[in-house]
Amino acid sequence: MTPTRRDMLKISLAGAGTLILPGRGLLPAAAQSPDEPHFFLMIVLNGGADCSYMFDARPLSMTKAGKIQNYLKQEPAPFSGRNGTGTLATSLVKPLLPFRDRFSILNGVYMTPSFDGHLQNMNFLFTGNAFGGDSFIPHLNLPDTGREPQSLDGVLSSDPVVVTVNNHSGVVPLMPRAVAGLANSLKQTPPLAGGELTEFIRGRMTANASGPGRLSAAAALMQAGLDKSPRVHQQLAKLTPPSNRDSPEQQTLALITQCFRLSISRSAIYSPSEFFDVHATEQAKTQPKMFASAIGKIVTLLKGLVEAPFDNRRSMMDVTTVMVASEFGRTMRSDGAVDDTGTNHNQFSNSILLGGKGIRSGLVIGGSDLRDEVEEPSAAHLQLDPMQEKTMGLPFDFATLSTRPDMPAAFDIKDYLTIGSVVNTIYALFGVPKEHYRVLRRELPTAQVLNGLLS
Amino acid sequence: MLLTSSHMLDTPTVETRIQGRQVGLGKGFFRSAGVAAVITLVISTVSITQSKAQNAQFKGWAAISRELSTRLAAPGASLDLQKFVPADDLDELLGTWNRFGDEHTLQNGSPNSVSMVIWRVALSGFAKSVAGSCGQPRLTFHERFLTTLRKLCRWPAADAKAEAVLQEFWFSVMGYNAPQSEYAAWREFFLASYTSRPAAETIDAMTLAITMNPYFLLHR
Repeated sequence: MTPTRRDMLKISLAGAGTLILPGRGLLPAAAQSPDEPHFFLMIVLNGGADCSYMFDARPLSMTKAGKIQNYLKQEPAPFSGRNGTGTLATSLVKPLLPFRDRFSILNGVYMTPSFDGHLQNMNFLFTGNAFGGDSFIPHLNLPDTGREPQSLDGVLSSDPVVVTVNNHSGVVPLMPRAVAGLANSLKQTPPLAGGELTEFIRGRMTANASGPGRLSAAAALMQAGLDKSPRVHQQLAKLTPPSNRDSPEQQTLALITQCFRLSISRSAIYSPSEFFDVHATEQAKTQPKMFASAIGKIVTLLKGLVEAPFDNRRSMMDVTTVMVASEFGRTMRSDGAVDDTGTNHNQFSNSILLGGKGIRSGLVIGGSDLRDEVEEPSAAHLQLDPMQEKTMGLPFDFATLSTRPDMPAAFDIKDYLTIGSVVNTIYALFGVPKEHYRVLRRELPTAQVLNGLLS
Repeated sequence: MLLTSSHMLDTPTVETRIQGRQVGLGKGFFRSAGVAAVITLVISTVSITQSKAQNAQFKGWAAISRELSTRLAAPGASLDLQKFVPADDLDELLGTWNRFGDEHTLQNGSPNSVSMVIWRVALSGFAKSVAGSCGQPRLTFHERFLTTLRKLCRWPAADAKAEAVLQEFWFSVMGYNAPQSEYAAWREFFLASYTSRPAAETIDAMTLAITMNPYFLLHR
C-alpha cells in the first residue's frame, strides 16, 4: 500500500517533540565512553543507487516535464524529520518507516567532486581518496580510540566491494557459508602454540618486515596476523554456523552478531546483491523491484539488530552504529524521453542513512537542488553540471544541519555537505584521533563534524 | 569551446555483466571523461589522507598448490593439496582473483589473522604429509624429491644433516624464491634446535618453516 501524505506527516510529526528532550536537540553531544561496547555496520548499495527512489524523491510533475525518470510512477509523499526538515520519499521506503526513529537521513552528500567512476567514488567513500588509501573502517578499531581493539577490524559478510585500500588486511571476508567448515575444522585443530618453531617462523617474518618495500609491508602484516592467530583461532572455533534455512540476510545477521559478541570484529560490511548501475533503459525500469528487494534486506538486518540481544541489558542495535551508503547517486536521466531512459553516475548528490548507537536519529539533514520542474540551478551547479542532468547538494549550514537558501555563483566545496563530514562524524563518535580526519581538499581544513547528529 | 569526448563518442550505452557485476560505460561516463583535461588540473584538489606503501599480496592457494605440484609432483601428476584446506570456500580467503570490468584484482591477498590461521592449518597438514612420507609416500611426489626425503628421513643421523641434503630439500620446496640468507637461517635453526629430535618431527617442522616463510607465500 502506498503511504499517503497524511500517513507520512503523522509519522513525521510524532517525533518532532523529542527535539526538546535532553540530548535530543541539535546541540553537540558528549563523546561515547570508550568503556562501552561499540560496533559499526556498513551496508553498501553497490553500483550507485538512485536517491530519488528512496528519501530524496522528486514529484511526478518533474517527470511529466521531462526532467527525471520515475519508473515507480507514483507520487512521492512528504517526509519530515523531527528537526522539521522535509524531503520527499517514495512508497518503497515504507518497510523502513518502523525504524525511522532509529536512523537519520543525509541528503545531498557530495562524493568526490572530480571523478564519477565507480571505483574512484567507492575508494572515496572508504578512503577519502579517489585512488585509494587508508580505509576509515580499521581506524574505528585503533587502540588510540581508547577501546581495546577487536581481533579483526571488520568482517565482510558478502561479496567483496571493489575498493583500493591499504589497510583492509584486518577486514576479513567471512561468508556465512564458510563458517560451518571453518569452525568445525578449527575445533579439531589446536591453535598455534608457542615454542621454538613458532618463534623461528615469526622471526623470519620480523627479519623481512624491516625494509621499505611491498614484501616487507606484507611480512609485517603476516607477523601481526600470526601474533593474533591463536586468539582468532579460538574465537572462530566458537562460531555457530547460521542455519541454511534462514535467508542470506538472517545468516549474515547471525554471523555479524556473533562476531560482535565474541569480540572478533569491530565492524562489519554487508552489500546486498542488487547492483544499481542502471545505464540502460531496461535496467533502469527494474529499479523499483531492486530497491524493494534491497530495502527488504536492510529491514531484515535492522529488525535483527533491534531484536537480537547483545547482553542482558542491550540489543545489538544499542551497541552498533549503522550506515547505509552507495558510492554515488544517479543522474535524473540520460538520453531519450524520461519514460525510456537509463541513468548515469552522479557524485554530486548522494543519500546516506546513519543510525544506531551514538546517532541522533529521526532527522533529515541536507538536501539537493532541482526539487521541482521550475527550480533554477545555481551558477555553481551550472559550473559542474551544465547539462542539468544531475541534482546537486544544496549549500549547507553546519550549525543547524540544514540547507542554505543562497545560490552560490561558484562552486566551493566548503559550502557543502560531503562524505568527509560524514566519516569525520563517525570518527568523532568512535573517538578516532583527529590526525585521521578527512580534509576537504589538499589545501583545505578537515571536513566539519556534524555535531548535531551525535546524541 | 572545449570539445568534450561526449561530442566525439556518441555511442550507445555498453553494458556488460561479468561475474555477477555490471560495468556501465554510459554517455555520462564518456561525458565525464571529456573533462579529462580538467582532471589533470584538479587532481591536486582531490582529498587526501595519509597513506602507506601498499603491501605485497599472498599468491593464493591455487598458485601455491601449482608451485608445489610443479616442484614436487611426479611428471604428469599434481599434488592433491585441496584436502589440507580446512573447509570448502576457505581457499578464497587466502587470495583469489576477481574481475571487475577490465580490472583484475587479487582479493583477500593481504595477510591478516584469519588468513594466517588458515595458512597455518593447511600448511601444517601438508607438512605432516611430507613428514609422514618417509615410509609410504602420502602424496604423488616425484622420485628425485623422494630420494632427498629418504636421506632426510635418517635425521638425526649425520648424513641427513649434510649440506647437499638440506639444500636439496630447501630448494625442492621453496624453489628459488628466497635469498640465500633465508636458507642460512633455516639451516642454522634446524641444526641447532632439532639436532637430536626424531625425523618425523624435524621434517614436519622444516616443511612448515619453509612454507610459512614470506618469500614462499607472497608475490614479490
